Amino acid sequence: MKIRKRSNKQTTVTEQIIEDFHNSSDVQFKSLALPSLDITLVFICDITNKKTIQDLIIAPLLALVNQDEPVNPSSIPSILPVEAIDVVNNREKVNTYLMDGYSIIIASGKAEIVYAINTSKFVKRNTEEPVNEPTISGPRDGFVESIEDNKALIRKHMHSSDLVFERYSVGTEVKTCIELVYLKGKAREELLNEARERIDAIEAEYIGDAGLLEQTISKNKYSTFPELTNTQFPLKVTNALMEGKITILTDGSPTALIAPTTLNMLLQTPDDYYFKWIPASLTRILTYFAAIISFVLPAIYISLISFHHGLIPTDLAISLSKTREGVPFPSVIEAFLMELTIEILREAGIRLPKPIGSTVSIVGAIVIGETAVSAGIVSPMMVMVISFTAICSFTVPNYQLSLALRSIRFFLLFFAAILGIYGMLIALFIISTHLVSLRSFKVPYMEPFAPFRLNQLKDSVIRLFFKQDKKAGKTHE
Amino acid sequence: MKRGTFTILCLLLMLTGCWDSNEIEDVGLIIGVGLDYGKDEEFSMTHQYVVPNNIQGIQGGLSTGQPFQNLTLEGESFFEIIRENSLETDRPPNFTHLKSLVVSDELIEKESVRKLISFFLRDHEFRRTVAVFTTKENVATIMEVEPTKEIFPAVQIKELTQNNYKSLEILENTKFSDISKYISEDASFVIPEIEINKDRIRLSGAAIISNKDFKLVGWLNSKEVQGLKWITNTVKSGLVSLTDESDNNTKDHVVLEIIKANTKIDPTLDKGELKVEVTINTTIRLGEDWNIERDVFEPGWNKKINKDAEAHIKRSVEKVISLAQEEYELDFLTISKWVRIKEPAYYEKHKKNWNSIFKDVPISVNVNVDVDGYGTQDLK
Repeated sequence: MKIRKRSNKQTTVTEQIIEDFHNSSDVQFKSLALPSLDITLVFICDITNKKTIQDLIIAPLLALVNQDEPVNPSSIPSILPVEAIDVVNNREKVNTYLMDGYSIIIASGKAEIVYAINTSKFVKRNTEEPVNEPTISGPRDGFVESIEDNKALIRKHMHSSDLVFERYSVGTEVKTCIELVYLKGKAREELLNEARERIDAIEAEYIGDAGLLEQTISKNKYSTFPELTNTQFPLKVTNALMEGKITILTDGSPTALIAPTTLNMLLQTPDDYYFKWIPASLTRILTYFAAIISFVLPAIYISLISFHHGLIPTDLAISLSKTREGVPFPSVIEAFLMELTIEILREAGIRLPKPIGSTVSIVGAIVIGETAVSAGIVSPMMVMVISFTAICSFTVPNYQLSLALRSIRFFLLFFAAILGIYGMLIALFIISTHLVSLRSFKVPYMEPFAPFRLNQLKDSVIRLFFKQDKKAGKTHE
Repeated sequence: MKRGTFTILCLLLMLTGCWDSNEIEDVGLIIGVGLDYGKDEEFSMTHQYVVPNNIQGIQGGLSTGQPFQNLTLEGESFFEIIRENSLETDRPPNFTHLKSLVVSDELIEKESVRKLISFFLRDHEFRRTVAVFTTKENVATIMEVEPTKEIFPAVQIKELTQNNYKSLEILENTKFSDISKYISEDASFVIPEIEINKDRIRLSGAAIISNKDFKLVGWLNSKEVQGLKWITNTVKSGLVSLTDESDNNTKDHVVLEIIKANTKIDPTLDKGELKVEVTINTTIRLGEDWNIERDVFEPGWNKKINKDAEAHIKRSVEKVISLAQEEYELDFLTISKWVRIKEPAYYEKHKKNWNSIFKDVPISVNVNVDVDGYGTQDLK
């Protein structure tokens, strides 16, 4: 609604609506002639509940038609049996209400009075378990596309009067409603101000999804690491709120964004908290280990096999040199080929409809893995290394992080191919320098490792029992 | 500006290409090296290359031919011979997986070990764990001997000493690191000897290398190696075999297994005179007993065995001490190490003429044997 020629002359609200919506077919008008009062009912038919309109607006108004007394426009709210009726006196508001599924009642007597009544009925999905965040024993309700339902889910999981929703409307061309969620008293004021500032600074034309919002408010444009965690789990949001973090909900998106984000947080799963601390810690260690393997293993393999043969145990070196016998490509090319194949397979698996998706993985595993080896294009050890790396990257709980690690893997592979372990260390050095200097909403990304926070370490690579957590919380206050 | 510098640095990195990269299958892995005198030229050097394609069982496929290739070349120096390799193999030799080095006895008799090993210690590709052996056989022949359990002769040779905890006759490996240590300590040492026995490689004794010029001066046989192991505190286990004369004048075997052994060498100065006390404490167990009269349930059954074992060990230790002091006048028993540690001032003063002092140092040997059991069952 940026540049819209407004005619200067006085127009009726009905005319305004027709002009603003360009005669769109789904905007419907209904005129009712009441004694001494013309009433026009406007609504968008696809997002309104017709029965509600019929029972709560049209029927009570029609009952007045045969009445002799003139109807006062200001008495309409008391006639209609609905919970809330808003008086609208702004052209833009009228449009917003209409798009939100409200019915607009224009009572034109001496002057025009405009009322809005909520009759909305949007298409929505039931809450389901989020597909990319499976849990073993936690709650299985996930966010949906409706922001009201998402707010309801958070309220349901968090009975606290301190829970605050702050509504913003962003987008210069098309408005989207977003909600800043925080726990008063837990979230620091600076963090809230930072978030508010960033939301206010949004200059995008249209924010259609949380993913777009994330990129618009993120400040680390050149980093591959996510600055906000996205999740579809209400419980993950409430846990984050308890830790003093903030969450941003976007209307029309089942994804909530949590800020600030740390690397440690991206490697945690809600399941870590549902089991006793020893197995939970072991799982955590495993996750960290797998995450590290998922980006260094191909680089290590390449360095060893083409630079530092002396570091491989003799028996392995001999069998490696036998299995690589007759492979036409240098190991670097071989590694890039296999990596590329795996990435293509993965993308294909995501894009294809589910029933065909599994076919792709079978074809990929058997055709590429088995036959490429027997055809002598790649060595079996390389297939093993690459597929193990891929499996390790599947254990990374957060998809954004898994994407980031994938890009780093190629970066490392490239350096390892040029300079061996020396090159790999250079690349690791660059990455760790970057990670240490990275900030998410002014919080160091590598917290609690760098800067080192001893009392937060108990929920990092390991997860200690909760009793100690409580104690630490008390000393904080 | 900053970004520009960074970009240039990145581009520079790419200019290097895959610098120093060498695929593992293009490398000629050498796992054994043999040194000898050459026929035509001064030295001959045998390289044992791995031939990965001929190794069976890794990828199914039957293969013919030996999994290793021995390449014997001659030249004026070892470095030159290594470079000469390139004339005959397409794969650059790589010594990072070298397992053992076999030197012929002639070579170390006439050339100083110090000279021979110089190249191997200098080059970075040689690991300091390479085991050194010497042999009276032809070096090229002994490296061709078909290994019985391992795939490569060189590995078999190195792994033979793995059993050093099972037998008193097996020395621990003398590695490159040990040799470099002995040479810089200016100490005499021994190198294990291998021989061909019925077409198999077998450990026999050891060669004594003198600290005067680091050349071979003599040999220790298997029995003498036992004494050396006792005195150098390298006994982990092994057997003590006794002949037991029982009451009715029949000779019976008693074989004892060593459970624990510890040797302490204690040099003391007594009015400026050096005295060395060797104390051996060992726990043994009755392993095999041919004397059926013996009743192990009677208290004091082990007294006689104790005494016999003590005498037996003492004899073998004294044998090797007399060899060192009288025959070779060389301290390959590492006594000097203990003198250096415990009486540093004295050693510092006599370091130069240690050999001449050593031959007259009174060394007393005390052996304490404790028989702690008779195994799981006694037939009574």
